[in-house]
Amino acid sequence: MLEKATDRSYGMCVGKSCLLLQFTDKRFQPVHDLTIGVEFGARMITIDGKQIKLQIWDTVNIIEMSFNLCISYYRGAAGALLVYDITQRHTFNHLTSWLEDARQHSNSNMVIMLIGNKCDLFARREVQKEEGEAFAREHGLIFMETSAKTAANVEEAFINTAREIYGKIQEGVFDPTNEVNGIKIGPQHANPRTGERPSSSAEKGGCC
Amino acid sequence: MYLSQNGNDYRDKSEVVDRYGFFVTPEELNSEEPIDRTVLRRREQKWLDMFSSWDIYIRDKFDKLKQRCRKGIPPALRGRAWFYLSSAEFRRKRAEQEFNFEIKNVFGLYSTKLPTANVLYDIEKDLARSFPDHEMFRGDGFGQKGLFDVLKAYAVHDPVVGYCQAQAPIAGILLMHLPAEDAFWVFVQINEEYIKGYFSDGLIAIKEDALATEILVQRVCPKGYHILKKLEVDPILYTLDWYMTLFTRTYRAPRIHRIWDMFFCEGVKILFRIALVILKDSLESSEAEKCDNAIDLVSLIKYNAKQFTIDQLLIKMDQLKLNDYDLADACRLARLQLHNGQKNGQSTQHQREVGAKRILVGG
Repeated sequence: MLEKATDRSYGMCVGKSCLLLQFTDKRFQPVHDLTIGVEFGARMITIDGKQIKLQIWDTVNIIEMSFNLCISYYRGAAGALLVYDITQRHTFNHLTSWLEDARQHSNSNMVIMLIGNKCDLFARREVQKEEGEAFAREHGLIFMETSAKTAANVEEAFINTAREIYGKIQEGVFDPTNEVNGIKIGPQHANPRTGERPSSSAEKGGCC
Repeated sequence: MYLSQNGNDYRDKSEVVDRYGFFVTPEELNSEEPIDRTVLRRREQKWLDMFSSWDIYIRDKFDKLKQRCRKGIPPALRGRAWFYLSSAEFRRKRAEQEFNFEIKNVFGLYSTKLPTANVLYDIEKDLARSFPDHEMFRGDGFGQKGLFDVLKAYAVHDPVVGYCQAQAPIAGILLMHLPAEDAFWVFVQINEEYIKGYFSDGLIAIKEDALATEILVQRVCPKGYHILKKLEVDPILYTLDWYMTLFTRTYRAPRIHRIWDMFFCEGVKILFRIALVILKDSLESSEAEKCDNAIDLVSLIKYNAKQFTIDQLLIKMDQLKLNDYDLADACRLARLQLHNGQKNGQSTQHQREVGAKRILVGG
């Protein structure tokens, strides 16, 4: 999305668009176009034999928060991926303020996964894996290190987030009949023959 | 012709460079329209004649000028024409005046100064990301220095706006046609005249134009408006990148050049008209009716946008039942709705009519 230099938000290339591309298209683009505006990705996955369509929104930053729509889309999201770059310490330092914004505007049950991206660049690592784990533990997030370049853990990050959301539906935490949760059960027009199945939408956010 | 040395890191043997410097597949290269050289020479001559009596064309023969911009400015003269159309030379002279004529090269002066560290960081980070599919900007492409200079100079020139990511592709396209200093003054005109307020804090002008677009959809395509409302699609979702980057994220050369030819002449209304053509066409399709959520619908609109040829866009723009008055009215309504009838100091009322004529002669 749009990044604008302010004191609070350094524009960051933590690899949000690259993660999304790796998950939806299974390819890596070393230099991704600037993401300006709102971009989406979608992919069908299977959890417990159920077909689920993940819709992923790329991405949110401080500036967009001024738009009412972002607040409404936050509310309409069942999950979020909060991404930092393990080779850039300052992207990790921004997590707290991003998380505050996300929590303030989102459904309190939203599943948030913390992602330390670019783990293939271990020689340039500035943020230790333990630090990511500790932050996630402290704030009740799921944590994973990924590489959009090698595809390591990318699949797992999105699918585990979806699995958590699915679990919450099973437990009755999310009410799939209420679309405010970003979850919808029903036939998909893309393939009307499959009949009823849950479709969840996860939102992927960056820390900027 | 294969990639130059600059793009080595990202070399893909299936890519070739088209005549505009973009990396394309061989199939895309073959699909380029042939240019009739005789027509081109004739057009070039007409444009050279216009340059020599520019004031007359702006003041008294504007319709002729407009028509020629719609037909497309000859590639060899495009940069110069954009410079003329935007009155960039006047802006350069006014800047000298602002420095009491003590500085002969204001761009040069800006180049010696630095914006804040985080602005500088953001600009540097985006240099290779603005056009990774163009030979000037990919990898360590030779155009990146110019891009850095223009964006940095603008952040010094207007520290309140500083740098916004959407500005990088705009500057990039200008640098494909003009030397850095000239590109800079055209860039200033875009920011200060054509789309003033798009990059200001709060992005008020963008919000107004997004809402005005939705109001116009209601007018030109009531059925489509109904679909947008039903799925609760905020107009920011589809207009933001179109307007803020002047369609550079949607169209590549040669389509983007043709759009900018019209934009420099007629102003922001071109953005509105293209957006409305895309929206009307997408929302009246059978696929739109099948969409049951906002994301699918916006994805459809964005995909559809890329399929238009420039001729299709031009024909459909002409067919829109919409005049300048409707546009101004929609903008007025959008302002009222957004500001709830309050008097607002940041109103953008005057800006919707900005085009080459208004910039030069005012009124």
